[in-house]
Amino acid sequence: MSDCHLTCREIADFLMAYLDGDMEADRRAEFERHLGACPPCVNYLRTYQRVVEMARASHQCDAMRPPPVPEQLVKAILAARGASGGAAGDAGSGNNSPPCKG
Amino acid sequence: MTTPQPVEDADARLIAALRAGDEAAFEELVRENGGRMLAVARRFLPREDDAQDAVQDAFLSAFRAFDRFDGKSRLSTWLHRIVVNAALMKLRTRRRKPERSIEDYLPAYRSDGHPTNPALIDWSESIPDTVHRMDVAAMVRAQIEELPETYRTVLLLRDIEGLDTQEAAEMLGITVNAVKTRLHRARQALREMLEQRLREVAA
Repeated sequence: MSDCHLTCREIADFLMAYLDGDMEADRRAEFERHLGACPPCVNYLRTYQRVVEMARASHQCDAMRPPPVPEQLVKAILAARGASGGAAGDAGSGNNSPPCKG
Repeated sequence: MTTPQPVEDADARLIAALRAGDEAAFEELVRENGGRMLAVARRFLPREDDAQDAVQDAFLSAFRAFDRFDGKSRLSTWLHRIVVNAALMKLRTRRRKPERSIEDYLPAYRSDGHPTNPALIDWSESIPDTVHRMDVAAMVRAQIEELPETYRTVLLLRDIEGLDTQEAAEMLGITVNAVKTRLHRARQALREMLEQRLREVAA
């Protein structure tokens, strides 16, 4: 696609280092010369960046609306704590609230 | 800037109660954080019983370690690191399912270094117009699950769980360079997979 020294394969291979600023100035300049002459590599870079954003966004709903913690898991954790000597009595008793709706 | 931070106050109150052995505080900790921690464990462990075991292991580790919690980070951040570690420990005990090589998902090149399928279309801005945002998130999650485990784990740690390269390397017991290489390949593979899926959707 471009006649620069770096090939498209090398652009793809070192893309993360370029985006992270983890590249020496000479190499960076060569990288940018290639990008200036090679629209497919620019598309590759843009879509790569978009994929990173999409991956980050793909699980955000978990953080904003976490799933309910199953009641039996709460009880199991508190019982295991009691069994390991960390608590006296039945720490899980007295709570019969239903699991939340996610 | 002397306004107290409510979240930090809540953390401080809860930590004090936990250190005092207050039973209700342990239950509050589990109920407040268990759902978020379960969501994290499920990302690493496809089997629900494994994910719940990891959450239980994480809380038991946390209960034992409260005296060492220095309060420099948020309680939820501290618990997040603990459940990620518990999930990775559980993952190591599980037999890996047969999976394709990462090479199968990476872009192919001719001997002169030119791609066999150059990226002729920039779809980075056009997805929301063609696919509903929720569909995109579901599509991305499904494709992440398809990645070979070694690569998926690094992508989850760095891009989803927000660990830095050094933290990820320490948790996995691999070098920083290995984390970088695996992360880049995982992202490249995910890019190829999503491009393929978007082509199918558009067709």
